[in-house]
Amino acid sequence: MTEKWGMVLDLKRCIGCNACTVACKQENSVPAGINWTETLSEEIGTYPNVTRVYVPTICNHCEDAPCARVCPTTATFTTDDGLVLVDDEKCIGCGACITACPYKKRAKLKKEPLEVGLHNSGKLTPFEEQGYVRFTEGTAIKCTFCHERVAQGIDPACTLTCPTEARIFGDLNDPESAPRKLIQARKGYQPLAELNTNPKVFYVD
Amino acid sequence: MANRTYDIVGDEFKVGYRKQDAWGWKIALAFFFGDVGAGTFFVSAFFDYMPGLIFGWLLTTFFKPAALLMHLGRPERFWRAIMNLKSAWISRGVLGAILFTGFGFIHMVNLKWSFLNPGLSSIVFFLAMAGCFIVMIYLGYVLSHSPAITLWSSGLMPLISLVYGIMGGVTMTLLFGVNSFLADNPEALRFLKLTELSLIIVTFIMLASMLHGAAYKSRAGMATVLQLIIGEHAKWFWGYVILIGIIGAGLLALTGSVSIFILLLVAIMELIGDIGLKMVLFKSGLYAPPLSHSTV
Repeated sequence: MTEKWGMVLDLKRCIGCNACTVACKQENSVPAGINWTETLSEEIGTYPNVTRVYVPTICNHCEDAPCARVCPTTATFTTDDGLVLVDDEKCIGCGACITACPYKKRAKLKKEPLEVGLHNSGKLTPFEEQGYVRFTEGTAIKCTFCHERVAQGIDPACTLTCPTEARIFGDLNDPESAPRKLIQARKGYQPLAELNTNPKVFYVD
Repeated sequence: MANRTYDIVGDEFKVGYRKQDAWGWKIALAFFFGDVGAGTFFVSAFFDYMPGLIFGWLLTTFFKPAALLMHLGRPERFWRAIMNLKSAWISRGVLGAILFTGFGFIHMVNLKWSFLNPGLSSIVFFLAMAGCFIVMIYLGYVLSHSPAITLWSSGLMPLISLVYGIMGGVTMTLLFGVNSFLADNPEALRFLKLTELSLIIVTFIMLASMLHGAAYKSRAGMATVLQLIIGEHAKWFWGYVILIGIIGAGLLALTGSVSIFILLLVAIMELIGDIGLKMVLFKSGLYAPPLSHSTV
């Protein structure tokens, strides 16, 4: 059986440091204004009984991905090992996938971020120059689960960087894998499960 | 998490309702041209009214694609948009537009010079009308395929899209035809006036149902509806869509006047309501927060 890559996000471990966000931007050269992964914060309760919860978010690489279903060019596709990717040679930048994604984890890449760079200086750093080669202006971009790393047996950058190991990546088809065991042990649930997109990212409380 | 309340947030790293910002005025304008153009062709076709056919065909064939191309990130690849007929309503809409453009043109030429035999001309007419119908209705299906945006993911969307298309078509046909073919055909004039009024009433009921359905479907839906009725987009919704597009146009239509001035006013008001609704639908779309089952 082929792998089915997935991730578990542990809400009890996440401290909201957003190291994952930075690692992702560094690994994938994600341009300014776009985050493929990010950790959101939420304040719960009323003073003086207030607490703060951190909710890491990422593309859920859904089994029944609405973004792939609505894509008029078939640019969004699912690989054999379950990753939802975009073929930027086919994408026309219509934005249908962006509106269809229930998690708002896609973005249309505009011209400006590729020209002004992360420092807004109008001049790209050598890091940006080598990184932006992978992007095509005007197309939809999204998290790839660091598929080049995964193909080499390395975890995605966000997972490897997380200082509290709140992100657990692995093969959901393997009953012995860390994410599968965690999902079973702690009753993992999917984000917005009621929408029947069947995400491959699970959360545990 | 089910009992928590959320704010509408922007790009800050906070849990809350997030705004749809991928689609805006360009795509609203494209669908507006498509709806009005296809609607005018559709209605005019039943009366073989050539100016209406030409107007509708031109609007759908040139103005709609122009607005769509402005919206696309890679407009030079527009032809790829037909590649996913299996599941994408945008592809199906493009197929409808191709059918409409091609067979609609042949139908108009045949109407003028009658070069096709009756059997063939019926097939051409059917294909043109099928394409026209798809162009009018597909925006609704495109929107209803966005599961997270409660206001959009409603079975009413295709019907609202269709009704606005036909209403625009009736209004434009009345405006263009009142001093030409309708002057000699009081039956048709009466029928179109009655249809126009009925469609305005039906539209009002559907909009009310749309809001009611969205408000009670989810919390994000309620937040969206509140934006429309008392919040950020209330001015657009009440002013342009309801007051001008429904009440104003409806009251004028109710007078039964066939004065060109009144018909022009009704048409303008109805078209303002149509584009206003499309804008407000795009502007007010909200995504639900990512987690709905957390107990943390």
